[in-house]
Amino acid sequence: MMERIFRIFRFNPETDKEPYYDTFTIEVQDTWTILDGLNAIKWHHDGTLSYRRSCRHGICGSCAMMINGKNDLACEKQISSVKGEITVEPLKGFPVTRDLMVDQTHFFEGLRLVKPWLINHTAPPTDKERLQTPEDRKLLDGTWECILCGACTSSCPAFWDNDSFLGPAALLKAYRYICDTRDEGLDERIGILDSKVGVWRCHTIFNCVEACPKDLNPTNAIVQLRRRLIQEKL
Amino acid sequence: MRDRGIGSGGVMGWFFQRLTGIVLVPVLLVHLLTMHRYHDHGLAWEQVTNLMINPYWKALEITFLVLALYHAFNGLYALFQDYVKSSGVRLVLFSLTVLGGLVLFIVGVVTVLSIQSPGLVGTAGKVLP
Ligand code: SF4
Ligand code: FES
Repeated sequence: MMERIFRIFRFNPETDKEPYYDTFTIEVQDTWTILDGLNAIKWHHDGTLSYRRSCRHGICGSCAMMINGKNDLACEKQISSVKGEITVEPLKGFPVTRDLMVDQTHFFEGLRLVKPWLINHTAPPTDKERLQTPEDRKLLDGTWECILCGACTSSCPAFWDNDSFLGPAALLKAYRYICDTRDEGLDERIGILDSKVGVWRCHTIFNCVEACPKDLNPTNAIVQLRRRLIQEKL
Repeated sequence: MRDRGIGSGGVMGWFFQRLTGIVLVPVLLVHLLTMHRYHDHGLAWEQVTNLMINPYWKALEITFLVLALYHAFNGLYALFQDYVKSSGVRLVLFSLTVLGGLVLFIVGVVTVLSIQSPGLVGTAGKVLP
């Protein structure tokens, strides 16, 4: 066990005029993640601390937050990997609902606009699945792993200034289906992708690549989408 | 739900911004090396006008003008699309962008076409000794 200091962003819109930071000094174990630290604070020091988490295994994407200035998953980030005081803040670019919780309604609205599901108008075979070759399946690598945590979109300066922009997560998801050889939905998605809130708002800043806790590359997906749009439209 | 109106796509604007950017590199170099070359006695205006009476140079300069204006004003409009949220204001800025580009295009073309003879052109259009 050792002592670590957590500096945590606090804001309750119902009672606070301004956000502020609370400091907690707690005993932690070597193997703890940031989420374990937050749990210890909530369970033993201040039950009002609010944050979102669910799976505790880097799968559900609920616990994305800013840890010492970088977006990460609280349940994956080891306390031992952070030097000194640990500052925990909510994801930037989204309205804060309380403490470390942000309102992602708008983020998920944008996601739905790109129709993140397989579109195929041909009836499936009755005796087997819609099969792919190993090469076709390989095209999906680096896209399907997205857990929709929002760390990328929250780190995107183009999104901070224009939150109508679909953002890297929704565009990566669109690409996940467009590059799927079983999908026939490009025509249905092209309108939103080529719109003023679509791929052209990205200025290849690469923050999303740096922010993604799953080491994905949304910028590359956006570049590939642009290539497809140019092939389709020109 | 935010305003995410579809319609004003950007594929053309994006593609031609890159294309003009690439073509501008050699054209801009040729323009700079020929039109803004400094000599011992400063800018050689006489050499510039000597080149500019050639119709091929005029064509090259007008091509440069079109490419540079498109690239500059399209870039400016992309900034408006990024930062201006109201579609009404965006429309006004778009109109001003097109108008500004057109005015500069006319001024540029008139300037290029008006150079008809070599030498220093005085304020009255007279060739100075
Ligand atoms: S691309 Fe990465 S950062 Fe963005 S939502 Fe998916 S997992 Fe999170
Ligand atoms: S709690 Fe599910 S990803 Fe962290």
